[in-house]
Amino acid sequence: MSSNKIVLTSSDGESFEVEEVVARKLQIVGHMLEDDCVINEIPLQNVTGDILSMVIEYCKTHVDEEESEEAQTKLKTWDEEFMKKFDIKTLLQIILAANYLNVKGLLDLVSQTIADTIKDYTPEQIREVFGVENDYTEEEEAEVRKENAWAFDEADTPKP
Amino acid sequence: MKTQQQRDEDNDDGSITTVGNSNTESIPLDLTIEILKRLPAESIFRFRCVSKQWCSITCSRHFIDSFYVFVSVSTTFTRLLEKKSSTSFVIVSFDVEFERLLLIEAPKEEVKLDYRLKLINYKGKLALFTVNNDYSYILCVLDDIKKQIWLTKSTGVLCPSFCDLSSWNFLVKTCDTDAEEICFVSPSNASELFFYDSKKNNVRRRVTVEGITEEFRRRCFFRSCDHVDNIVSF
Repeated sequence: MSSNKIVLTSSDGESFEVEEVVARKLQIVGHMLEDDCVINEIPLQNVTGDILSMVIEYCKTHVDEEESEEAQTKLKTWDEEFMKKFDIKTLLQIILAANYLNVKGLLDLVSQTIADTIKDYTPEQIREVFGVENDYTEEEEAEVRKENAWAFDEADTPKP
Repeated sequence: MKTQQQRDEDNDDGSITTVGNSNTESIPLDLTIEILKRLPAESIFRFRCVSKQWCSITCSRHFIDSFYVFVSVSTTFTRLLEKKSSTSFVIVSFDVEFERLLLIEAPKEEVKLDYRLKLINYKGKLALFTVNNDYSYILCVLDDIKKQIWLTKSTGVLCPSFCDLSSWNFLVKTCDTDAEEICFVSPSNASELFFYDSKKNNVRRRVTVEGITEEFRRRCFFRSCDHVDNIVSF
């Protein structure tokens, strides 16, 4: 069963041939295979080729997760190095893909990486990166800033 | 498969978010929450200014509870014990999970084990913190409990305007960032807290806990030297 090949196709028509065990790491594919066992080409409409290739790279590395401490440490190091390659925009695309394709491990990893990346951002940077509209009025925003002043840089913090 | 086709059609007029090269994709609410609950408390407070929705997410009871769970709690108690026979101290750790006692060697050169020494939780590791008569302080962290390796994390001198407080009890709160906050508690009034930034050498925040009655305040009540990041507002 493990030698079965499955072709995954991205929204922009790129195809990836992977082993079934790797494809099954994408739970969305796992469910499809259970529903209908004769599929060998699966279209994935919500993910582009460049992002899908990264998700597959992750799944290939994590295909047999060993319990031993040594193997776990090695995987963790690989995860860290893997995540270093991406900027915040790409990380956000990966989190959307990991969510859509339902890859639990990658979802956790990328959520943590995004949190680590954005923790020192200003609200303005957050709005830009996350595409969030500022729905505060000027007065309201000033009020919320005042309430949480200590969480801003020293320049904004009132001296005791 | 019908939903797949549906999405396909939606993609054509661009009404559904696609993982692509667009710069203004919005992240669904559940994923936003996944990210937010992994942030340090300080960032969460700052991001309440992002939008009303972000503010209401991070103020909700559910989020606050899940955030609390996310910050893990260690399973060992460590105490500084005074030997009755001599006037020396030893550090003893008790592992609740395995019900085992462990004697921990103190770093010999850096600190002297005495009554001024405080044991604190530094990012999940045991650490020693002490302030000397000349207001210099030292923070040592037990980096490897098995091999008992101590690292000197920071040293410094408390700034003069702060000196009158050096006789106070102190707790140490550490952030995930490199910055360290030392939390001082008044010996006479436990509702007053000072957060001291050891990097910038000044008082960063001054907090008064309201709702503690005068009678209660005068009694000596327990203050924990451990801490958990929590975003519950008073």
